This record gives sequence, structure tokens and C-alpha cells, in this order.
Amino acid sequence: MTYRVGRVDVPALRGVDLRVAPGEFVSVMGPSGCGKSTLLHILGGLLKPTSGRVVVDGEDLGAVSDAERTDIRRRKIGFVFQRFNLFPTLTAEGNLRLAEQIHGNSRGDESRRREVLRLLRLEGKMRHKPLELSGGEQQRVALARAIINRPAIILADEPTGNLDTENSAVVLDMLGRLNGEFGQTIVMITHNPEAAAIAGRTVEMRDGMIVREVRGRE
Amino acid sequence: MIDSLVISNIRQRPTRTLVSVAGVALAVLLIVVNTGLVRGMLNDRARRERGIGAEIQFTRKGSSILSPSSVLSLDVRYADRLRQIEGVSAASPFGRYVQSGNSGIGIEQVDGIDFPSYAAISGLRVTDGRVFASDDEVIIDEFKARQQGLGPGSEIEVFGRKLKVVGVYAPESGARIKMSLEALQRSLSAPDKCSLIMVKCADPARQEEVQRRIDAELPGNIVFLTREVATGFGRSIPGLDGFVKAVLALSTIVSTLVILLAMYTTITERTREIGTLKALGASKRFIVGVIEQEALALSLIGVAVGLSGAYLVGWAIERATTLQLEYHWTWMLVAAMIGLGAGALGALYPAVRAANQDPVKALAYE
Repeated sequence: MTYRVGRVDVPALRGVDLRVAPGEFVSVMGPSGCGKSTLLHILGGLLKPTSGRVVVDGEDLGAVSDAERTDIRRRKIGFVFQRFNLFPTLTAEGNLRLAEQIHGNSRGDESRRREVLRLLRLEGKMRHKPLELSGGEQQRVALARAIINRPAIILADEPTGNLDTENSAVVLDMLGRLNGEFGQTIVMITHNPEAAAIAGRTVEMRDGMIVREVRGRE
Repeated sequence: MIDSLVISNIRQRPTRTLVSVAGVALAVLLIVVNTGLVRGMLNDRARRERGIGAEIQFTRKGSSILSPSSVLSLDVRYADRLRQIEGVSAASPFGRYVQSGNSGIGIEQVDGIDFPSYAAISGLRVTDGRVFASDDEVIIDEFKARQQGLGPGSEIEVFGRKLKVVGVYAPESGARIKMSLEALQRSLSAPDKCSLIMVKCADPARQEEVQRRIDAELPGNIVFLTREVATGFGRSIPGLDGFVKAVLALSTIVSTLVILLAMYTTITERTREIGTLKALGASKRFIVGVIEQEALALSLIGVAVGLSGAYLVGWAIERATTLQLEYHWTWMLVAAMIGLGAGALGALYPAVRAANQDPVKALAYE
């Protein structure tokens, strides 16, 4: 798989064949520049591959237009970023409601929001803005935003990269519970082997290729 | 919900909000105050011209009350000839002197009148004090007296020298300052001359007939109906239409540019947020919609501030000068539409640019 930057084809991914089953939790590890983020961006439809197939819940992201890819992203994918990427002017609840609005649920689902916030232990933080929350709380809000619309898959890009050990543990625990108790499909990029260990399968990448897979939580 | 993103962005970026609102408000204020001034001054003058009570006005070619000249060029003896024409019940000559406003804004007119004949036609009466009796005495109307706190015993400057106010008159008609025609003639070294002769018809319903008769008996002069003065003022001021159009164009450009720059800066600052919106699956239309709504909300506040400001400025102008403003809802609507339209237009380029951003680059933006 290659993607294009300007007029140059960048061979960021080469012959990657990754299948993630519904309800599976997969970690992707590897050194910087190995193609992890590119893989995640292509899986999430943020980048269009110049060749190959990327199928999410039966829809081929490589065969559709930009607008259709955006629509698939809206309906099926939830992103969690290393730097949380919350909207700083909105409260925690506002961030969730914005995601609902984009998803097409303009009135929002109050009970779903409450359920998600309870699951992520954020009930008392609904009215707080991101800058009033700790890093761990911000990432939990980002996680809540990612799952609020029941996506087919969550793509987490170094979700603990900006967190201390304690908050990392909380966020990883949440991801584990989402997967274990609710069957949420997750693909998580991480540099941290301990973080990767909570996944059911760890894929190791190098030079744009998958070089090793480890099954089971070790 | 989208509203709360819009509102929260407006609240959280006070400087940007202030600049955008000020830009739109300034444009709205410019339109409303300028058109209000033009309308107010024209209508005020027209109203006062109608207040003179004469149906017809007579003057020489080349001079016009519509663009007043300080030169007295019409022989007062025309008044006697006019009185002899069938259908004319009275005629009163008067001279008009134009000077710059005492407040430094606008112009101020002084009418030299033959008090008995003028009062007979216009119904003018002195409500406080007395009629002028010498060259350095004037009377003023109640509006000027009230507006500038003047009255019998006060002094005002005419011909560059102080003249004494000896009386206040009503109702408003013609210029707000009146002196004797002879005094004006002497001051302007134009004995037996006037600017214009007011003609009162025996039967106002037949004024067109009298107008035609005067035109036939005294050809080569200008004979016009006082009721036509209102529309005549607007047409007679050269470039007035162009001035109003220039104000509209400038206002549109100012609001568009201010919103464009403000929203452009905003979307640059918010590049990563736009990347996040895209990651969440927001369509281009959604992103354009958010930015346009924000610009429209800012413009709406700007319009409200501009309209309120126009009322304040109008109040201050009327307090400080004798200028009169007349705001009309159609011009307020035009100003509001220009403010909102310019806001939407100005935000369009930043909005489309934001919507077309590469999501990966936007997410990586520092």
C-alpha cells in the first residue's frame, strides 16, 4: 500500500495484510516511521491508499470518493488521539454532543451520553471544559466521544502517549473494558509494550510491513 | 448543538469577536447615519420650505433655492408685478445668505425677509421677544432656540460679526435665522435685490394655472411649485446619489474584509480542530456551515451594535448641531442585509478553505 504526498508515491505501507475481527482488540507497535500512523489514517479513511483494499464493516474505503469516505468515517469509525483533540471551547458534554450532531443525531441521546460518561467515570465532569480536566480525564472524554455513536471500530493513536503512568493505566483499563464487556473493536497504536499487552493481539511493524504478530494478552 | 460550538467560539475569542463585531457595526452605522443625515436634512429643508405658506416661488434663471447662492440677483420690483397677475393674492421677496454652520458642521442659512408680507403669507409670528428693528438684530425659530439654548438677548454670528437675537418665532419656515431684507441687502451691498419671491395664490387649488400665467407674463425666469421642492432637493444636490452608493459600497467592503480576515485568522488558529471535525466525519458542508454560522452570528451582533450606535450617534449629532437625522426602516434593513451578507460573503473563502483541508495535515498542525 502506498499513499501519495504531492506527486510522490510514499511507500509507507508495503504488502500489509491485516484482518481485524469484530470485537477484537489489536495493538500495533513499531519504531517511529514504520508506518503505524499511516496504517491508522488509512484504516480511518483520513488517507486514501493508492493501491490495495481497506474494508471496514463491509465497505471498501479505497474504492469510494472523499465524501463517501467521510461518510463511512462518520458512521463507523471513532478516533482517539494522543493529544486528545477535544474542542477547548466546549464542555465535556459539548464535545460528546458535537460528535452526536456530526453523526446525524442533532438532538443527542441523553441516556446514551449518561451511560458512556458513567462507564468512563466522568459523571461529575460533564460541565467541565478540557482545560479544567486532567490529562487522563481529557483522554477519557475523548474516548467517550469516540464511542458515543457506537462505531464499528475505534482507532486509537498512542492514547497514553501524553499521560503519566497512573492515567495511562486508567485509560488502558477503560479500553480493555470497552472491548471485554461491550465487544468494541479497537485498533491501538502504541510504543509502549505494556500498553500493547492489554490487546488480544499485537502486530509489530517495521519499514511499512507487518513483521510479527503475537496473540493473547501477555 | 452546532449552535453551542458557534456560541462558545464567539465567547472564547473575545478579541476576534470584538474586531469582527466592530467592523460590521461600523459599516451598519455608516449606512444608517449617512442615509439618515441625507434624508433628515432634505426632509427638514423641504418641510421648512413648505412652511413658508406660498404655493409658488419665483426666481431668476441661474439662481435656485435648491442650491442657494448668497448673491441677491433678483430685483424686488418683480414682487409688484407678480401681485398684479390674476390669481396671485400676495408676494413677498426674500434674500438668502448661506454661511458655514457655527458648529463647524454643515451650512447655515439666513433669510432676509420683509416681515409684514412674509408673516402674512407664512403665518409666522414672534412667540418670544420682538421683531428685528435694526441691521444687527435677528430672530430665530423655536427649534434653533431650543437646540442651542438661545433666546432674546443672545448673540449669534452672521457675516462674521455678532448679531443680537431679539425674538423667537414659529412656525418653522425657510432658514432658521431671519433678519430684515434691507439689512441683508446692505450687508451684501445689493440694494433692492432679493434671491426669491414667494407667491401666494388666491386659490391654492389653481396653483398650476397661476404658475403657467406667471411663466407667460414674466418669461425667462424660474417659476416652481413649493410642493415640488421636497423631491427637487434630492435631485439638485450634485453627486448625492453617488455619495449614498459610495457609502454602501465602502460599508460592504469594510464588513466583508473584516469578517474575511477574522475568520481566516480563526480557521488558521483552529486548523487542528478542523482536522478533528474531519476525523469525526464532519462533511465539507458541515464545516462550511459551522464557520458561516459563526460569521453570521458575529455579523448579527455587529448589526445590532451598529443600529444601536447609529441611534446614539444620531442623538449626539442632533444635540451638538442643528442637523437633523431621519432614520427609515428601509435603510436599516438595507444596512442589516449588507452587514449579514458581507459577513456570509467574507466567511465563505475561509470556510471553503477549511472544508478542503487535508485532515492528516490538519491533525498534525502545531
